[in-house]
Amino acid sequence: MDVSLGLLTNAVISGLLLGGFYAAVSIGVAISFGMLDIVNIAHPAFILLGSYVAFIGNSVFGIDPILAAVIALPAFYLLGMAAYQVYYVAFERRDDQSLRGLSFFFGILFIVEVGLILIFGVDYTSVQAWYGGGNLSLGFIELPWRLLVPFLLGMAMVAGLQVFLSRTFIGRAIQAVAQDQQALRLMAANPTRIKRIAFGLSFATAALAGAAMIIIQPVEPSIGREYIGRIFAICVLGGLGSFPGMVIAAVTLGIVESLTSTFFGPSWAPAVAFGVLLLTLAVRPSGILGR
Amino acid sequence: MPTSAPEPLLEVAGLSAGYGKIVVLRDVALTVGAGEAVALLGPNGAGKTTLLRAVSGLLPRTGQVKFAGRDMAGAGPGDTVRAGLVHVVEGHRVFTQLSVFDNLLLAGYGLPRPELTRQVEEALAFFPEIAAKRNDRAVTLSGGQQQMLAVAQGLVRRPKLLMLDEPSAGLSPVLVDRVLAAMVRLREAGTILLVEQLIEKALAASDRVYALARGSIVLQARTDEADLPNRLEHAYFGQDVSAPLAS
Amino acid sequence: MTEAAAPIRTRGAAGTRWLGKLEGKISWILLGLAGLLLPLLDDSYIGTIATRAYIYWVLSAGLNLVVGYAGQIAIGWVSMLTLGAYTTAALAAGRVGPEWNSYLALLAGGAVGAVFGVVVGLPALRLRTFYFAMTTLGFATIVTQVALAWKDITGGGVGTPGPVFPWPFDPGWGFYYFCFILAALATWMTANIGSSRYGRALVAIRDAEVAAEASGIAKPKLLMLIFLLAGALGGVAGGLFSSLQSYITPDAFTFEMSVLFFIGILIGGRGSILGPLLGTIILTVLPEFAAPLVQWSTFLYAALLLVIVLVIPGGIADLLDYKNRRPLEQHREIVPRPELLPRVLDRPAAELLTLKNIALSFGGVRAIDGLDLEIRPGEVHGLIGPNGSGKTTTLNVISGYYAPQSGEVRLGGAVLPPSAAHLRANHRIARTFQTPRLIGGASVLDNVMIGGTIDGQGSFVESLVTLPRHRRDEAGLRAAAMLALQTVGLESLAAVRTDRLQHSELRFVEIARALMLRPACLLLDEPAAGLSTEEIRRLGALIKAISRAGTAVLLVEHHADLIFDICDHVTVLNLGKVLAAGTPAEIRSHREVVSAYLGA
Repeated sequence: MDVSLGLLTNAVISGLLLGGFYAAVSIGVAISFGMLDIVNIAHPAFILLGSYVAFIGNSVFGIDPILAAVIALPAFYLLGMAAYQVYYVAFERRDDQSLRGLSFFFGILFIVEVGLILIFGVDYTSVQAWYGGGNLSLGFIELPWRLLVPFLLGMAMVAGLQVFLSRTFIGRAIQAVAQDQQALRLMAANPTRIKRIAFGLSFATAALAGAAMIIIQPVEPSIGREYIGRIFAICVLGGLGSFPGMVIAAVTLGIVESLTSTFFGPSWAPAVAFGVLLLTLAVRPSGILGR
Repeated sequence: MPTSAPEPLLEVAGLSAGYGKIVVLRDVALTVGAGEAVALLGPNGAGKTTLLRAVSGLLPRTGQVKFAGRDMAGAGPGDTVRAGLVHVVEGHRVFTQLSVFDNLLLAGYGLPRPELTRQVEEALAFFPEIAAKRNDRAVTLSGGQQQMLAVAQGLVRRPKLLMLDEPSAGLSPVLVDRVLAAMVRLREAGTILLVEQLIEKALAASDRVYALARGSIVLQARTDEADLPNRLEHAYFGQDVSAPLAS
Repeated sequence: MTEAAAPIRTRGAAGTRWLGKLEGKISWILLGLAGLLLPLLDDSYIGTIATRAYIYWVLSAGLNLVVGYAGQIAIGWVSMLTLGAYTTAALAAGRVGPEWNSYLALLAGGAVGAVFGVVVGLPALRLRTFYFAMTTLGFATIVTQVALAWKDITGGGVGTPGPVFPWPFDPGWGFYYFCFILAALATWMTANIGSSRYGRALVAIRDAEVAAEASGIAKPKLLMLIFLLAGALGGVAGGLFSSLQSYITPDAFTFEMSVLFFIGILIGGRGSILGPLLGTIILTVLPEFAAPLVQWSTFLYAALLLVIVLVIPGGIADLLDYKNRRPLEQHREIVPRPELLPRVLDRPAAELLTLKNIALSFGGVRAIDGLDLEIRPGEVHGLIGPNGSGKTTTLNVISGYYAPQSGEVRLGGAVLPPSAAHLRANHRIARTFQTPRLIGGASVLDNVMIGGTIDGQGSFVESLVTLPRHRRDEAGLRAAAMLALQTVGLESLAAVRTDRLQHSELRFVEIARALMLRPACLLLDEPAAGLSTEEIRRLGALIKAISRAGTAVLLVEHHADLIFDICDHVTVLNLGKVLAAGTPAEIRSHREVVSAYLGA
């Protein structure tokens, strides 16, 4: 009795912290899919790219993985802008999105993944950081650092982006572009430029999410696929266009997955995410806080 | 009579435009002089909105558009706005999730901050009703207030010419009067090209009028000319009212 | 003169059709021969690859109807393969009761696939395309997970042996021929469906759903049939797969496989059978040419996908589409032949359409406020009014897209059910749309034939195996469509891809499609928009002739000239109510009408 309560508490707390990490992983898609309506199914591959960048920074230069990701931020941002430009020229301009756009990102997903395999191989890779092992003890609760740091990173990312979107000019423009592009054009704003910046931001979050990921667990290139279901389940459950909703959804999924993992085994995790997605679409497709 | 008339602020000649394969406007010509209020009337389907969109650069066009002495060939909406020609679209579309103030700030995208804030305040001064709601989200405004906000957005850039597309559309008569009262103040402040379906109100608010039907200009006149409503009727329906029916 | 000319034109079109069929047939003949003669190479490695290609094609042939024709993005269809494989393997190995005969086990695999095909397909009726894609992916993940966990049936991670088929289809070339036969069967059946009214209806749902509804096509039933077929084929493919592999484990059904089938169809091009077949073959064979590293094959798939998506969106099918590269005549004129109408509209009684006290509000706005309308057969009834007066809304109520909050619509004596747009075709109510809604990628003839979908008698199964009734249906529809095209004056463009036509021609194609219903009532939504003066005149003559042949015609228009020229009766709407009604002359001089129009 005592043992299972402890197990339960542990699972819930791990799930909560995991949820923070999931928020970091999903926020890029919350921007690209939730606000720009672009189905960037390749996002997980770029998160993996971020993980490997963090790995290189850590193993070759000896710097902290998160710091390595921060250094790489501008590169990811530019990459995102370039990716959007290709997407725009090929698809959005011709108003032929859906199927072709989705296929385009599938192609990118595979190519990035294969690229990572060819460079880094299929074995698991991990980083060395002071918070790699060990727990933070708060009374009777043990918070593993390797979960806590990504959680904090995730929360910081969401908070930072929320502030950016509501306080800065460009942030407001991004919110507006989701709503009415024509009106923006008549205000001498360039919707394409604004979307490009937003997409660049989305990619930039992948760098940090990647660092978080390689802190939580050793990575290998194909684990990105597990995250496709998770990310879109979180975005849909949270409601498109709502960051608070996305965070709630991320934490919810984290806890549900953690409980399932503890009591039924870890291989059920990907199925859980899709189960949540299917349930949401069946019951409340607009999500928790969706507009 | 002056020996040379001053150059018009807006000069459109030989304009044709459409959507994809559908040609809507054929060879349209009109002018708007500085300080004038010009009304563009016509039945629906005539192409009034298409005309404004073609002039502001939202739609591709053939023909010439000259604004403030400058040839606007190839200018997109951004260039047109920066040149001082502002187009307020139909349907009082504002950014519902942003506050009134943010909506106005966005309207001045690209302007330096101090100038922008000043001009936003000027625009708000035209519409005290929404100035009172400056921090409320636009979605909480009534239809008429949203329309005023849309017009205020157009004013933020201190336009040389303001093009308004059916500002009264979808509004109740009371709100229509309020919005058109603002038109009168605008007319004193600058030049306006007004597209409207409500003829009487439009005529009351303007100096000159063009009638557009079936894609071309079918009538131009000063609003103080005689028998205008009758002439408009003929222009709209394209045939003499009292003539016998063709079989 | 016109009667004599008509047969010549039809023969000409038929001649092109035969050539087209032969063109297609040559490819099939070559492929068939290659398949039959492959064993002569006596290379078992090549044989295995070819067998695998046949198996993948059996699944992809069904998936092609779902993705290529119906436009549903079913990425996770590998789940059917998994289900079929495990069902067949488990039954044949005796994991569920006694050992089953391999062939019966295979059939059972197909049956299980069929059932789950429908289950997976159900969300497609409600979800947007991308979300549906995610649910199929989710289903595939869940199935794989269940396969891992349900150790008794599936052997869990350790796996289970696949069935061995007895002579003459034993492992080796026997099994090769078994798969070849099944692949050929799958090709034949799906090609039959593709070129039947079911196939056309699927494409209509994909590209012009609103128009499909107006033609009487019921989306749910049709989609479920397709998912059933695709699921069955996938299940059978799974059973064959388990035999080919001889031992299956959950990780044989990878994420790559999921996407591979989908990519094969995309590379092949939508709306084609040959294209996806070639696409699937290419994707199956590709890994064998790739370097020893497995990853390179994934890379090649992805690169091929990107090339197709960015450069050749129409896929292989587009590359092979020679007839639509021939240039069209530049200055084409539309010359309708109203005298053919009695043959086209040959139907019994004329019906009166009445609207009584219709009221409809959207949110707080009263779009229609107590409307009474009567449209008599043999008359052209014009409906005009300023913007927002409710003209198009009225049309949408009559054609069943909107349900009024009160009032009723009657045709003859019968009350028309409110929100049943797809049932209007049964009542012989046809319509055109404000912006032409046609399938750009299909031929003009196919688009017109869609109008007559409900006249087909044959069932889905009859079309599947081209039984005589199906053939009669097709011949009849084709002839009726050509006649309709001759009536509107566009028969010379019958075989042309619809997106190559001018805007005015598209409007007349819509009318031809509407005529296929031999309508008792024809609703026209601004048909003159974008037409030249001469074209409007010819349109007017055609509309008038349609009414004189007995149809009740309702014409919503802005063009005052057209209204006053051909209407027998005009109703003016303003703010959702009837402002005035009468003859054109009466309306034109009606003070209030003029005021409303001029907005004074």
